[in-house]
Amino acid sequence: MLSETVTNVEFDAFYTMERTALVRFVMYLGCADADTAEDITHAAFTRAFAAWATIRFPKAWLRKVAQNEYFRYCQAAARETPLDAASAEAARRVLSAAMALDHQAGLREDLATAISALPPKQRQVMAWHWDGFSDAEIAIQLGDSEVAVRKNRSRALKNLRRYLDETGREAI
Amino acid sequence: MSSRRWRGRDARMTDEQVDMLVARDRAAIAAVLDRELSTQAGLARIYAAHGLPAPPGQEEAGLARPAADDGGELQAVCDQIAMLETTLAHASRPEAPSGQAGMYLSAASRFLYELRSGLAERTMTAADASRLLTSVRHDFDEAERTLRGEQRLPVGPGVLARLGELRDLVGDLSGQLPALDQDVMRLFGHSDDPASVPLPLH
Repeated sequence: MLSETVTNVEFDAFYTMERTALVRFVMYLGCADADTAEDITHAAFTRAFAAWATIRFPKAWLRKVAQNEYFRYCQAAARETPLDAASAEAARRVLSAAMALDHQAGLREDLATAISALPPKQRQVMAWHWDGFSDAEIAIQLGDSEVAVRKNRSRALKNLRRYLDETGREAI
Repeated sequence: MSSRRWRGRDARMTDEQVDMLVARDRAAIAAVLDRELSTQAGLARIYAAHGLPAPPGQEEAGLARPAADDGGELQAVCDQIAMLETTLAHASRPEAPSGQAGMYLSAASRFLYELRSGLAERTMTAADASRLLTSVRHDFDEAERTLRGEQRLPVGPGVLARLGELRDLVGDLSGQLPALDQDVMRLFGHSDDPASVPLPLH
């Protein structure tokens, strides 16, 4: 009973610390809207709660599960709408949601558009990268080689930079 | 060819500027999400899915939330710390030019993780946060001192250049600490006792 309580306290603390980051991770993967990203996050955490005592690396575990949930959601959505168009528009919409908070809203809107325009694999790699995972760790989680991850990350960064350059806005 | 195309080839924006832009974007998104999402309601949904009663709320458990959290400042600070951790992870990787400096940077990274976790879980006192930041500063100073010494050793130009790059990076990170220090301490500013955020009771 005591260990169960301790486990729950640990889970609660982890949830408090990581929930926002996981919703944001799903958004960077290209998720349709904040509500859907939150639902996907909720599904991942609900599974984590049941398996909490056996999870060794919860941060990676949660992202892997959330990523799979998101892909399932995309497959279901693709039956109704063309995925690329829906995903690109949705990601742009979601990532622009926070712009009112930033005086560099224009530049950040460009960033949102640039991220949503990345090929899915590059977007996926960057979502993991921005959450602090190394190329080696990402390679394990995505089942790719480290070289492939590094190339995708490098190409994604180049694409982002090129898009932002072409918009001609002044950087920070 | 249009001038727009030419600007693209100039690659005016650096990787660091893109990283900084992304970091701001992440902080802004986190601020919106923190404002919109209720942690307590989310936990209650998860517990309910497993047929369990909702855990006690933070207010119910006597855990005061820093007022700054309402504006997403806590998440922004945590993101800021996480960015430093990410940079340190790259700087202290095994193939880094200086093993000893890498050890100091790894230690700094652990202190930053401890700080971020404690802030996010509301279990960190202002005194502990200050102590951790002091430790991080100490490790950066030691890493810088080590790198400076190693630059005087008879090493090849390639290693020398990498030592210089790492030293510059450590300097940049050190330069970010005073602002981080202020941001962290501001999180405690609304507490009745500025030296302490109450500990959770569970």
